[in-house]
Amino acid sequence: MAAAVLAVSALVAIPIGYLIVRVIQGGWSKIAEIISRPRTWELAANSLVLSGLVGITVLVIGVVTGWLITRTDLPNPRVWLVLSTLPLAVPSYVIAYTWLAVTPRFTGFWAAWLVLSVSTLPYVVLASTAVLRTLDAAQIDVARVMGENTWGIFRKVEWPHMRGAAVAGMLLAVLYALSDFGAVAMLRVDTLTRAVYTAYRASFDRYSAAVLALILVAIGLMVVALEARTRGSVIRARVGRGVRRESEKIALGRWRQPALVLLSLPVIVGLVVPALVIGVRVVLASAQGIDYLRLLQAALTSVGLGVAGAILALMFSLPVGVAVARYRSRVGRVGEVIALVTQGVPGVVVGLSLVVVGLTFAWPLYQTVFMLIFGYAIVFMARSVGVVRSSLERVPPVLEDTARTLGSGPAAVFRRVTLPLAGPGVAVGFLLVLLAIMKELPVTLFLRPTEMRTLATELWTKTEIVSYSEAAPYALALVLLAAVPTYLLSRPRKVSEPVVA
Amino acid sequence: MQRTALKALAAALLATSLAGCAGTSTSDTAAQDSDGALTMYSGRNEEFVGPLLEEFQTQTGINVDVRYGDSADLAAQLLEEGDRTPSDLFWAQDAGALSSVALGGLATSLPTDVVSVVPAEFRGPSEQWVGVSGRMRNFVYNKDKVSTGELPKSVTELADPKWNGRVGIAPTNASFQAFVTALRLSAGEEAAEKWLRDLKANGAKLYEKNSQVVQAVNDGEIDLGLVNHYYVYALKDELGETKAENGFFAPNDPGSLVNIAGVLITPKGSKDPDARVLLEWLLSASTQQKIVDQLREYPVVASVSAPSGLPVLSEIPGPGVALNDLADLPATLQLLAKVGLV
Repeated sequence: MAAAVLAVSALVAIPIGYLIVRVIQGGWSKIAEIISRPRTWELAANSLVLSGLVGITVLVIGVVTGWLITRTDLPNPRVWLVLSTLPLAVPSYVIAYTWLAVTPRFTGFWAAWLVLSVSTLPYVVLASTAVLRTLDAAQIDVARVMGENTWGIFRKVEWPHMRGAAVAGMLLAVLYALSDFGAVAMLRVDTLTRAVYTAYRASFDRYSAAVLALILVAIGLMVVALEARTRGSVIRARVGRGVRRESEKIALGRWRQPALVLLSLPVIVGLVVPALVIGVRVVLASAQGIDYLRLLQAALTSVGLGVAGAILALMFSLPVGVAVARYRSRVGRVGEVIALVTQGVPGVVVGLSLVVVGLTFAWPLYQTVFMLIFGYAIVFMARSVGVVRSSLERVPPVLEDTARTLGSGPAAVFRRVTLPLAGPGVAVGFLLVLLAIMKELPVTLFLRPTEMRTLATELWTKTEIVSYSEAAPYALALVLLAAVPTYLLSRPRKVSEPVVA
Repeated sequence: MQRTALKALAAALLATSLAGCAGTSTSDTAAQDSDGALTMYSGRNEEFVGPLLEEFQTQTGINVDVRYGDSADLAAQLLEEGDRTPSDLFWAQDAGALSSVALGGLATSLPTDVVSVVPAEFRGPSEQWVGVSGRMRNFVYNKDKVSTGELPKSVTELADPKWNGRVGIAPTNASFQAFVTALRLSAGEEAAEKWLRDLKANGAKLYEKNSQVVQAVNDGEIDLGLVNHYYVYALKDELGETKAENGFFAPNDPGSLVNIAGVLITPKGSKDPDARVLLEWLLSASTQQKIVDQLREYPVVASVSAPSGLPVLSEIPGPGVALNDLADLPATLQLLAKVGLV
């Protein structure tokens, strides 16, 4: 397994490795020139402030949302969870675009903050609800008996349990905000990522682009390091005796209205308005005639690529997740960190790095569907490795130890004990990667076989010029298809937590 | 490998059968070692050139696999691929992308007898690329908000307080940057910088794409925007009536720069006679006429006249800047960054 962990860690290092090579090729003078430019630091500050604010916003609102849904007597909590998760199905560039269609004044820093926040909020909502659902009422009851009020229980019992998962969700949001180009460009906010694209697109300068992207990597590393520090040494696995039961719900009382408003706002911004705008445009488009065959082909391609890529990403994630969770593997941890940091790197850089590596080491596979799926797995492994690892961490090692003492070999233990217990986490990882692939554009454009069309590439083709209504059916298909894995993500999972007697 | 071989075989079979049906003979060289298949990287949008290339396939039986993308992204991809690129031709949105690929050694000299129909100013150095269609920088204005008497004669007027907060530009767009390069080269660095600063101070609104500028003019968000001449037609096609209308600066104004979209042939493509067939086809009078009719762009050959309603190219000499000089983009970018527009 060590070999597998090493191999996966090496593979995920491709994009950043490529950047380092290009930066070195560019020479010190290029680095010095870019670093000495005040503009560079202005852009870095913009990126940092934007992604930082998005992170804080989604952490606070996401945790509150998760808490309201699981721990209070909010009406229809299941419906609210599904609604709060669904903005994940709408690509951020589509949210930005539809809001621009509503009002052209929707531009600038705060517009970008809003769009990026609502489209990444579900990561934290999902993480928070997942933890709170499985929290044992006994712990809360003990705290209550000790005289803690609702806030005290949250601070001393609930938060310590959910902190790791919620902050991990926030990390994905921050890295997404760092690397986002589509929404930021449309809303006209200057960030480092936009500067990387400009360097490629305006001056054909791969070296400047690489230096700028490496600054993003440094910011990403910093953010990942901060996240790692919040991971305490809390024992995540439950080892007590007795049957786990749910705690009593807290009555919201006069807080019900404000709570409903808080839950509605992100849903309106990230789901309702985009859906309405797309709906109107689809009606306009259907008057002009829609090429359904082409739409269907693109949809099937998107789904097929998504499923294949997600399976491969999981195959990459499992050894790394197991190595980190069970054996405290250094190599595995490095692989996980690199995979995470890569999330903050603009897609154009990742795409080009895979072009180079594909040509050098896998020439016959270049611009085939295999290369594309491989690229997806590398790019989005970070989404699944975290959930795989944390779900393993919630499985008490005692179970595996017991299986070993009963005579099972390591492989059998993994197959019969570890994997089934980590199952729900693996499923979540699969769905997260599937979603990400369906919405992905830049890597698809670089690596797809020539003439292959996905919903995202078709959407890009149509919006590059002004045929907005022609784009709408593709946007609708993308959102509807992405809503399926999103809905599955929000469903309550079977409580896999075992009881150790 | 096997897949590629199969695909090529299938394409060849298709090509022969199609050629048989159509009964048209392509050029003599094509018969020698043509495989009846080409791969093209296209920075031009599928909506624009897809129908044209389909016509080429039906007419010649040569199958063209087109990889669509952003011109600059495809240029970067070509440069990363080097000799191993699967592409035979690259159709780029602008001369800058073509030049960067040529500088990277991935453009071959085009056959002189084919490209000589195009004026020298629309060809790259050593015939490494050739223009296929032209587009002019101009402005769109909202006809409810700007009277015809008020229309600017020169782009430099837009820094005037009278246009405060009314003008939109797309400073990260390649054609805007080509125009700034032309301005730098024709009016001088200092004048260009002063104009850009004045424009910014005058409350010019910044957009990501030309199409958004046109949309904003039509929505009344701004009164006038600097774009290319064909964007307003695309909007009219979609909406029917528009408030946005085309306007043109005076001849010789830097605001009237003519830029091209063009093609180059890679070293791989130079070994395939089909690439030459496609090049000839693109520059033929009938295709040039289609470019005028369907894309409403300027033809690059003298035998075809400009789209109706547009100024004749020879009457708009532009700022007198050679397209090759537009490759001086890094300096333009530095200037734009210095004044804080990108």
